[in-house]
Amino acid sequence: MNYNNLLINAGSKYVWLFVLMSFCTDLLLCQEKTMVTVLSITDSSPLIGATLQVTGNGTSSSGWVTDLEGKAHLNIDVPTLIKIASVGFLTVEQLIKPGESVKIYLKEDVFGLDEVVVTGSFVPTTSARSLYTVKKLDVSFIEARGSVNLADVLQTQLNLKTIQDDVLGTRVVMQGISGPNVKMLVDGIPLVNGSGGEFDLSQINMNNVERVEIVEGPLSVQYGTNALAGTINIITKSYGAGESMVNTGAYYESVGQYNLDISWAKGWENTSISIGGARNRFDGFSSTGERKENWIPRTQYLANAKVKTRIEALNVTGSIDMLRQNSTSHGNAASAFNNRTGKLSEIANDGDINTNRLNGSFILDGKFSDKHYLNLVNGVSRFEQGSRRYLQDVIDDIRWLSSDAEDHDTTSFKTWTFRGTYVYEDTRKDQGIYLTAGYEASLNSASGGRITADADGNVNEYGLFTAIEIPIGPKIKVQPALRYTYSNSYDTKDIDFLNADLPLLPSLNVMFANSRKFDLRLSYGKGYRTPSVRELYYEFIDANHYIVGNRELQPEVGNNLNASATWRPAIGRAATALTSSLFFSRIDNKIDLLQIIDRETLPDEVPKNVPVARIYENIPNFKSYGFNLTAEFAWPNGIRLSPGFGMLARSGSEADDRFYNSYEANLNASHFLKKLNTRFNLFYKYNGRISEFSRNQDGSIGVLTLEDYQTLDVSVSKPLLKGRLFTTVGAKNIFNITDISLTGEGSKGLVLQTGREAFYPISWGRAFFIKVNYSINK
Amino acid sequence: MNTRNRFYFSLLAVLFFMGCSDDDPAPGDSTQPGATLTAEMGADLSKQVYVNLSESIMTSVNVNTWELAFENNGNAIRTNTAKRVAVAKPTESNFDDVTGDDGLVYAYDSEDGDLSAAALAGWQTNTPYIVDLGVDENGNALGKKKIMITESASSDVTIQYANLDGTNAVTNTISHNTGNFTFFSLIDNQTVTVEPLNWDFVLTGVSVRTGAPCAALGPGAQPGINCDIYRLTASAITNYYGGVEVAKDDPFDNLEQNDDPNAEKNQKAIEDGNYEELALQDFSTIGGSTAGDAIGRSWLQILQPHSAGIFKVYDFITYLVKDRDGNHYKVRFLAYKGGDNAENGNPTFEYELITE
Repeated sequence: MNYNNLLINAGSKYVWLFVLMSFCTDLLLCQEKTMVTVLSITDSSPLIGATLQVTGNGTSSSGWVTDLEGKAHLNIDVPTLIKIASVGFLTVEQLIKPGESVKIYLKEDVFGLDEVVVTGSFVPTTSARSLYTVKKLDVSFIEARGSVNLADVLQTQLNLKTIQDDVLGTRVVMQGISGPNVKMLVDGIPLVNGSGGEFDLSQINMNNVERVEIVEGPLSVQYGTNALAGTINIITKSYGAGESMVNTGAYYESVGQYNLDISWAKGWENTSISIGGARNRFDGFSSTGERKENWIPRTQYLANAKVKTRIEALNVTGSIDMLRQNSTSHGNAASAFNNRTGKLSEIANDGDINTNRLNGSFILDGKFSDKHYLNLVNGVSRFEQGSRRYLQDVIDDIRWLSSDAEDHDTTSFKTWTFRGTYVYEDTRKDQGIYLTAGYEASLNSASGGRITADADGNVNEYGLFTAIEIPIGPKIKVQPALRYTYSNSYDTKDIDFLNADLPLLPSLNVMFANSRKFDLRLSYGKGYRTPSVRELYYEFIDANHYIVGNRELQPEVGNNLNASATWRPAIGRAATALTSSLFFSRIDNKIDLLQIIDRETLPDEVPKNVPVARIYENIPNFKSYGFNLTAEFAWPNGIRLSPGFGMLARSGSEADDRFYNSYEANLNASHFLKKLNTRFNLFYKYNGRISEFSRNQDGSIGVLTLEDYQTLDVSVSKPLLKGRLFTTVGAKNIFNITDISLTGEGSKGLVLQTGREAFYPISWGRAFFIKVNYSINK
Repeated sequence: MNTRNRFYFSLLAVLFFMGCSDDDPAPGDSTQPGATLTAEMGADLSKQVYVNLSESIMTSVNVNTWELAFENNGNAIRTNTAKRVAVAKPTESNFDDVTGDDGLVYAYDSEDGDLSAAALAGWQTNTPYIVDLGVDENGNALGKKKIMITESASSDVTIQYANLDGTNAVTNTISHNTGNFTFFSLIDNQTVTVEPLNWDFVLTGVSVRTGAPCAALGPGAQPGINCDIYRLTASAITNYYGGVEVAKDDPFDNLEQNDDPNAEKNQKAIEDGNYEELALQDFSTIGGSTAGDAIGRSWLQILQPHSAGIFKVYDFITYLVKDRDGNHYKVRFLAYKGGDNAENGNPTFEYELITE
């Protein structure tokens, strides 16, 4: 896939024509009696390469493709229901009679309703048909934002926040619930979290990503543990038959980011291979001007490879991607006597933090007959982080390794996932019955100085799941689903389904859809999260820290209700989609890293005045509810506007059921000038005040509040040199936001892990970027 | 490395570096040049470092080895303020009747080492006292003992002690040794060697009260919780008992000393001091002090935020020290961070002999 065909639909039509050329040989032999002309409703231009397929009565594989005039000749003998599809347009079905000549106008699929989504559904489906509201951030969005990594992509989304920590990186907060409760997937394979127990979004690079899919609310039947607040699924690029390309890209951002990437892909009839690599450099940023940076400098090296082949009906995909990140944290220098030079000097504590990530997967999927779909996912995700502490004499520029063994550590986490899904489809009617059965095994291990030795092999989890999607009439479908789960680290009966000690997780989805004008989705889901290896076995004890896991932890169990309705009226000439959604969620036994206030309970070997003393504990309950109102307007002249507003209320046992509200609003706007083939983009977000609450030792509630702030990014993208050179230039963070202050008194804040400062770093301030991609398609 | 090995290692290290010195100083050599020394107390202040200026010798001793020190040529008793040893006087007069310390107020030795203001000043034979054994290097409480001195003679002292519940009852006769004080461990039931024979000042932790005294709070007072909270702070205590005197030259004595990093006093630098100019006659002009804390903590100030562990060292203060041997030196502190890992608890000071 190159970038210009994502921008210009015409480009993709040629691709389709090329791909389906084989059909066209049949075309010449067609009988001349039936002719269909497929046109765009917007400007009556012919749609080249639109596919026409016989539907119903199952097995027929008859199909035709429109020619350069948008025409196709059909050899049919009886009136036949034909499905007419063209990329970027909404698919329609029409009864065609033999011998007639008809014009069919297709509407542009401005909201991507017919685009494929995979997250949450057991078989790949389309946005319009999915039982879940799947938010899709595709490659054009990623490009328009000048996104380097996942954090950049998510920043302006409603219900999502990104939190920065100098050492642990950028983590996500979804619906007010932080990192570990958000399932991170790459092509459906769970990623192991990092050393802070949370996923560092800056370690997911965007240059090999096709799109990002986000589902809010639990998907625990599908994905097991952690999919409690939501799921983020990163779909990597895939290449089709006959595609062959070399792509190189470069990115510069004025704060000091310098990135280069290169990839190569080749596709044959049944097989494609792609490899890629990148180097990303970030110079670091200190908002205070101090030597200690709140955004530490780092260099990332990335490599990925993917092989895809088709064996009869089965797609076999093997892929691997690796990340090596070298970062250095600088400390503030303080006056000290250097016993190496024998001089008074300024000495700082610096740290080298080297991270290795490896994700590998082997996936088999396909419809091996009309009714049977199989998907076998096998993957491994490994994270290893080594940290070394150095002393740096900043005056004489001498650096030496700390002689204290506890200053150095290498810890690794590994997850193996084996998931198999079988779906029986009965799709004689449009709304078919889908019966799903599957298994999942998740094997986790960890090792290193900061993990106690008995952790190995003790957090394994096995699940069996089933679901059935049943149509009730033409407009309604219902899907009850269930997962049974077993874990060797705790008694899964604690999930306590129906208060009957059952280790079962249910979900129920109901969807009402009225021919793309209106749809309504209701879902109930029970989600859970197993205490992670880190939460159970972590042990970080040195002169400044006492952070330990807790083997007594219970699993988190969440209940979530979600309702979302979309109405798509035509307002003037604009295609419009108005969506409102509402959710309620309650998590019992939420796991939090709490401060140990009574220091006398610390073990003897721990200094009682250790600055940071924390332990993982269950808190009885956490509640949140909220609503979102979003709208999307798309005018034929290329202007798109999507404003949104969100409210989130959070409470729980740590807040005596008092609710803390926060508000958000965003606006994404773009204008595509067809003649100039140029797109202007604007991304705005207002982040309201958000409070973090916790109970103090004396029973009072401590509240730490992050003040509100706004971000605004703009960009322009344009393909040059016949689409070979794709350029995006823009400005990020025009309001020049750096640190946002925290007010109040609480033992726990969004900056819990390191939090000593009275502010929290949001961004590195205003920056300009330019991104160029040069691709050669053979 | 166990503590004993560490001790020998640091001693060895000190000797090694001395061996490297071009001018091997002889005791009392009036031409001896200055030196810069780092006293490695450790960030947890678990070591006391005794300094002998004329020989450029430092002796490092573990703090948690003794609780009581008996004056050899007198009957005063010191307590180990470097690990927060404290003494309370129970209401019961019979040793066996003492079972707890509810409601008792603990006293600490005076920071200046004044024996008449020590926690056990005015102690009497056959009277029980309760000794809080202080804390170890991690801040763990070591427990409490009740003690009673049953006999006191010029050559020895007989002490009876037990846990508050009466267990581990021991009676020990401690013979005075030849030093100034005989150090005794109530935990190990033995005398220990602490002070070297010749030293001028010791870098040590001292128990310092933070916050209000309990007496000022009245009935709401909860010792150790809202008042009389004692913590350990690095200090330099002179060998006042051996006749060491100190005259302090602080050009900014009039400025308020506090933990605000922007306070005027905290902006002053080494160049603002009088170290270079100060001469022998200034010792008598300023006047020597025999107080144990004549140097004390005056060279060190923690800055906000305290959690960052940044200390300002007042390198512009010069201490004119008349040592045990009658020599005069000028001393100034340069840094509190030092050692292999540039950590707190490693004060570095420089000094030189002044002859005119």
